[in-house]
Amino acid sequence: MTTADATVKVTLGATRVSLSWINGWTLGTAAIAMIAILPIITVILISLAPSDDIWEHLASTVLPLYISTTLLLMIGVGTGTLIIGIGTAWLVSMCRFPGRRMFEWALLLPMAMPAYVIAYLYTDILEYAGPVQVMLRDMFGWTTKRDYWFPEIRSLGGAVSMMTLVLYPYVYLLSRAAFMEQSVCVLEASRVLGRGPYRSFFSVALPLARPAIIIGISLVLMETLNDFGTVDFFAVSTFTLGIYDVWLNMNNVAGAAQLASVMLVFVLFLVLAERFARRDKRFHHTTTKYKALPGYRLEGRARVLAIVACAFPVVFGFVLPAGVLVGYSLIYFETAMNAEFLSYALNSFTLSALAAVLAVIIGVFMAYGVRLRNERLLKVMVRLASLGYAVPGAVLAVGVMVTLGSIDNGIDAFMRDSFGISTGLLFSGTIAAVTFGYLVRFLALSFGSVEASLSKVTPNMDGAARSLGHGPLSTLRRVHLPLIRTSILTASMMVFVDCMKELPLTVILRPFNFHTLATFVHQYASDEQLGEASLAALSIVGFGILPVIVLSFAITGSRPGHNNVEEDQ
Amino acid sequence: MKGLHIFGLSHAYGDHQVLSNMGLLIPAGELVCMLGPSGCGKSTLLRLAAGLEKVQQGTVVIDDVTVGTPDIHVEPEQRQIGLMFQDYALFPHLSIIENVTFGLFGMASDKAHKRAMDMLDQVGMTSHANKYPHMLSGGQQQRVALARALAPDPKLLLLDEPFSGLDANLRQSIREETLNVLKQSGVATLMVTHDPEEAMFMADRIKIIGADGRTLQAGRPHEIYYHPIHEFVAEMFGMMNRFECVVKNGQVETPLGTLPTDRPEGLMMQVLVRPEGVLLDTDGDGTGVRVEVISSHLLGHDNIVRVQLENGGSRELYVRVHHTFEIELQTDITARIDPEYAFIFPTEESRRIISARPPEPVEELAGETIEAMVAE
Amino acid sequence: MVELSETFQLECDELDKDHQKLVDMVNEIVEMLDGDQPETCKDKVREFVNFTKGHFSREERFLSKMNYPDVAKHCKHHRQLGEKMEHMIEFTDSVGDNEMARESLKRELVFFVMDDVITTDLEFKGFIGDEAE
Repeated sequence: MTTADATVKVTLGATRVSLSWINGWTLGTAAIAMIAILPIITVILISLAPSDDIWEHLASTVLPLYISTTLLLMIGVGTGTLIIGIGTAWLVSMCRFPGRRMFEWALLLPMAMPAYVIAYLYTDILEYAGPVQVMLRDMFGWTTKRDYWFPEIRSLGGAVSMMTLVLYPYVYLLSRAAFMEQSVCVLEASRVLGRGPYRSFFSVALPLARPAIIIGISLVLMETLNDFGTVDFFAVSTFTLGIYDVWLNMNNVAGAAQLASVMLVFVLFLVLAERFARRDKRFHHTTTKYKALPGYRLEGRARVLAIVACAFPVVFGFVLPAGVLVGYSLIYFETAMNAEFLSYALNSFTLSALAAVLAVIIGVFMAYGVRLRNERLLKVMVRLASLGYAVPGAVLAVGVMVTLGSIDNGIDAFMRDSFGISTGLLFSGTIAAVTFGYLVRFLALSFGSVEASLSKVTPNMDGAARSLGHGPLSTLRRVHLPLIRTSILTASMMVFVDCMKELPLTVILRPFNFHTLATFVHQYASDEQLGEASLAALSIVGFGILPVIVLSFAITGSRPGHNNVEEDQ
Repeated sequence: MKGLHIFGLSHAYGDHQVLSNMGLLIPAGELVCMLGPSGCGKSTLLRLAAGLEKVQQGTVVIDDVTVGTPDIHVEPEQRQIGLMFQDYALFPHLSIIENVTFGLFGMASDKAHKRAMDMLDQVGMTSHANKYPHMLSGGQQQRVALARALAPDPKLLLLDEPFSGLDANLRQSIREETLNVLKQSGVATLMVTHDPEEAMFMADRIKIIGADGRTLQAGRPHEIYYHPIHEFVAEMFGMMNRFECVVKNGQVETPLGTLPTDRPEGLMMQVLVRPEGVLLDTDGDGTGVRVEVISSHLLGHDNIVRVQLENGGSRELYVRVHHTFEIELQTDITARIDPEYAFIFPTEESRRIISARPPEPVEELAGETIEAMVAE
Repeated sequence: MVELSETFQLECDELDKDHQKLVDMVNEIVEMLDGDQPETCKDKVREFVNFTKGHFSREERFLSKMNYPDVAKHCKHHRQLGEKMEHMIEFTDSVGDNEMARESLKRELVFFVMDDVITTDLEFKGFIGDEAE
């Protein structure tokens, strides 16, 4: 019995360890998921709680305005991004014209521009005292406003244009991916059945790409709801603006929470639309045979139109505003480059780095939690926790503020009762609060990224590694880590950049007198002092280019059927 | 005993019983194939042998060491086994040679390298040593997976449908090569497959598992094919012609003739005849029953012919004839049964009847096997 | 050479003794097959088959006395092995000049005694262990 005995001891020990390991992990994942959902639940709970009749007041005064404005904004931005996004994606993936390869990645550039930055810049350019109108007045001899008509940039229309220009890349990216994925056989079959390139597009390519397009539009609209800087600057009364107004100006948390809840209804629709589209996507894959795409050669007028159509969003969405920004930075360099700027930069940097690291750690933890215990409940909880990206920053801010506030009050009351010490506010208004907000909002990025690449490590690979003598830890180190390393780096970079750009959450949750580059730009631009904040804005855009670079590599390398597979001998 | 020994193994997923009191034995150097329908628990058995699942009931022994019982669980990394999966599971971030050396611990790196190159040589893949898995075709990946599994000199090799991802025309040659390598290494091998032809080709012994997770029959390929003990086993190997007949005077009467049987009088039996067991005679030479040819499909070496009994209503039979038998040129065709290929089993109904009968008491007959007249 | 290691024991003296005798006989036959005059194993194989049948009846008696619930199935299994045993005797005719016949017979004997007989018997090891308590 000796060999058996020894084996029993060794393995029982191993068994016990691995069992408890799994349990702790599962509990941890569930706990994190619950914490992430907490802000949203808080918002819903507050809005349901009876309060003073702020609700009737809101409903009779501003609610209809918020609803209609928000809807108009969404429709406008949705339509604009749809047209530009799908149009350019089609041109770039299906046709051939000079400059196409460059446009493939250049069309992503506007992603680097936060909407509020581009809004400030165009306002400067296009307002009455700005260079464009001045030039026009000189040219045509007009003297006052009543002499001519010029579109007012600070309007709903203006907001729609600004957001369209920087958000279309989502639709572009996803549509392009969908078009490239389509088996060329389907398109050829369509042509054989008598439909020319244009009709093939509308009746075959477009419907097949529909799920991707819906996902793209949902993301665009979520960002639209989220925006604060632009609507604040342009005085466009959306829900986000309303929440800030009620909260910061009227000091009414309950009212803000109620507005936030109504907003959640919009969000719910978007999330459902996106989820539905993702499920739909599974059935839209045609065959697995790939060939190079048709590449209709464009001649003459069509060629020129294509180039213009692609150049337009790139120029107006990035090149022009970036150029203006660089110009300002050079002009105002001395004033802008000061200790203030550097300290704000440091703030942004530290906060974003902290959030990025934590997001990745949590993301990895949760991805493994879901992988180790394949339970439906856990998966559902984790999915809910990842909803942060869909929830507008304003709503999250309310939720986080109230949650932390109650925790603080609770601890304070407990400490006072038990020890007679007042701890006051521990979490509210600290960096921890902002970081918490960032994590809830961007968890989806890190978790989704890690989960996707982890799923490429098949259970059979685990089995193979273990049969070859590697225990769980060794398998982790030598098989998992190399394969998820890239996605961890990418995810951390994306969270970092998104935190740098973030405005709505930061404005509300930041500690007193604490500025990030984003809030700094917002404040100074609101005071018509964009010049002094130009360096800060340029830094934000600079960082924003990093993900664009990564994505553009993914694009140029993503054409399927390009790996050399040897013929079998 | 060197090799794998399993006995009393039962396993259930929730309510679903996938293995019932399963036993298995594979001495070193032998290859045993488990053949059965999907969901019958053969993959579960493989995983239990590998240690990827914990034993609920039963015992798993490798090289005389108990590695798996409800109380004992030796982790896979400590069992010294080799695994080969349907999707090969090569590590995409490692080169081929790095994949093969992955399991070689405690070896000086130059020795490990040499061993890996030896293995790659055996499977004919040395020229690809520095490539990456995505650059290889399916057949090449399979060979590398084999080399990787065998490099650490395992005590047991487990193959989970290793050839099903390959093109049909490739499968044959890869099977042969794999078999050569396995025989050379002398390792006990357990292979799971749903392809009967594959099992016949590769196995020293075939074990047929039924849908309820029990062994239906175990034996040499010849035995399984020519002496099935259950219609399920017979039907595994292709289309069968099936007749239902009642036992009369120690015989069953099929439309193509009578066959002797020692089953009880009056019991309804099913007679299964393989397509190659229906013999066609021409020009009125035969003693069989007249048939009319409906269609014929040449497979190259064989011809599958569908015939209809002239006075058997619309009864159709599948017949396999030699390719030189050009069916269009034949007249006056008759068909009869070759008893070598005819198997007689009770129908399900009959089995129920028999098991419902009270069993006769077990008699003491010295030196003879007891005829307990119970359950079929 | 086959050996009955610990895991093959039923922990029932009578049956384990039978199994050991079967294994010994198989080892003898294998030795003969590997030797100069393989065809002389024919008698030994017959002896083996007869002893096996006797073992089967002893075992069946034992099992029904213990009221083993699956005794009917086990008896049926024994009967089904009859054909296999006949076949093994047939093989002995050609072992003289057919290498494959020798290999086949060796393999069949080992599988037969270790798998078909002993491993299947291990199915009721738990039962008789419990009953003994």
